[in-house]
Amino acid sequence: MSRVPHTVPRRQSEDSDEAIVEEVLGGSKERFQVLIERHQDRVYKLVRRFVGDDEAADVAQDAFLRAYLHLDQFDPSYAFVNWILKIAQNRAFSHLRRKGVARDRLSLDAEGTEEPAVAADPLTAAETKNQAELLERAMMRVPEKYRILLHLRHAEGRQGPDIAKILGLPHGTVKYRFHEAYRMLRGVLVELGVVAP
Amino acid sequence: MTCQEYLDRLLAGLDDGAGAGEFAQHETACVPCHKRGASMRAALDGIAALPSSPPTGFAKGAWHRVASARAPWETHAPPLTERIAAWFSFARFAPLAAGAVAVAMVALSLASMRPSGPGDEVARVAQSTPGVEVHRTRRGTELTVPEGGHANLELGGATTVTLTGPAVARARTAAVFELDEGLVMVNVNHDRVGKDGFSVVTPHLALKVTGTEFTVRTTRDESVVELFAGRVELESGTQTRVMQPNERVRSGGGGLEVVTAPPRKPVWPLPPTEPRPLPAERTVVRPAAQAQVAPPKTSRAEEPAERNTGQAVPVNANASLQDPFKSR
Repeated sequence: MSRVPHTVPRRQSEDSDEAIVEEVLGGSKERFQVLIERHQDRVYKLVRRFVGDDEAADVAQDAFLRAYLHLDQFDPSYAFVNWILKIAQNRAFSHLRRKGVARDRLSLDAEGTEEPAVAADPLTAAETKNQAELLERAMMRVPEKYRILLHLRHAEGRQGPDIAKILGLPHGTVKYRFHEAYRMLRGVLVELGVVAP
Repeated sequence: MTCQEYLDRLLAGLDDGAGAGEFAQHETACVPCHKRGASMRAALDGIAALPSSPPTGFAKGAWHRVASARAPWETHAPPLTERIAAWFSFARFAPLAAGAVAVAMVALSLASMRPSGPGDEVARVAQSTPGVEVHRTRRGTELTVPEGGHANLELGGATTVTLTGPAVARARTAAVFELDEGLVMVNVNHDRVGKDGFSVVTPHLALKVTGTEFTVRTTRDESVVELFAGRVELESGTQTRVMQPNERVRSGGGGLEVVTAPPRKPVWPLPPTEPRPLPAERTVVRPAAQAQVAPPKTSRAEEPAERNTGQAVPVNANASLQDPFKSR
């Protein structure tokens, strides 16, 4: 299986995330633009995975704003990208809570009004929906706390210990959740006819 | 490895962990599992490749939000100019200023409590006859002049006070002179006295002058003020009066009485024991209600001799104040 490589090099130069954070805290507010441009793809992608296309931009921008407002609480011994992803995840979950979406509920029922819950014939499904849309839909049916694991692993290319740091969870918990996440995802993918039963 | 074990490993993280070789072997050998593994990996690769780029202007919008916000920590790390301004802020120096004010107030109070003495400029005994006692106390420079004695006191360079015994008085400051008993002649230099003027306080009245020449005679029962020049403000009890030149006013403590007879300026040295002539008529200046119930006043000549402890004033209206020590 190919994995997306870790695309966040820890720059040790003056332009590293942590150095820029120090500059911002020192009064160079405009330097925060560099951090925004550097991490906008990851933050937006993560948020979009939870709140959808319509509100992803607003929630992701709010995540950057929150990061700036609490920049003094950033621990430079950790990677800034992990911190901003954690904030983005929290903002996305908070947004879902405000909208009344149950986080831990497999959202098959919620999706059921928009589309058939189960594609009776995989071939039919493949004909009517392209693979990407089906995968998107399958991901959206996985509860948020498992979806974040799948996203961080397969979209961000993070490994287990890194994910445990971002989520603030023990590594064992992350491994167990991965098992559950794959089981749920596989169930949804089988239902959608994307993978073999 | 059974197909169920393969599926469990697949769901536990695909081919992670121990037994990866057995895992791959079973997948290769088992067609259904091969199909499962291949389709699952393809799906996960598809998830990784899902397009999700932020819309155009996303970064600009995020920066606009950040730029218009002010973080709480910005107050803790303001720009250099603000930090310099804050360093000089009032709050920083408030405790220091309060301490300085407190020290200044203590110093001022100590200075006001410091008694003046013969060596001080505020109250200097220029000349005195033998027997005059001068004490420096916390209340000021206290003078006790025996009967027949005299003392010439200079206060602050603006006021000259001449005491005739028997007298007890004290100079609280250069501007306040307390006369318990005796006769005092005061000459206030209008040009040199301070804006608060010069005050003489007796047990019966208090007067304030800004430049004049007058005498105050005090006994245990009354105080008599004679004004020769300038203006004098008198206060006794609730009553006040502005004296005019050539006016004589007496007070027993309860009010002010204007004596119609003109004052007579004392001549230095004063005869020690000669009875003081008093005028026959007096005009009582009192509120109407008080005047109705007040008992009739007796003249000073009718008072018991032992109460008249003040010194007599020589009858010489045209004489000017002379330095007694020059003639000696």
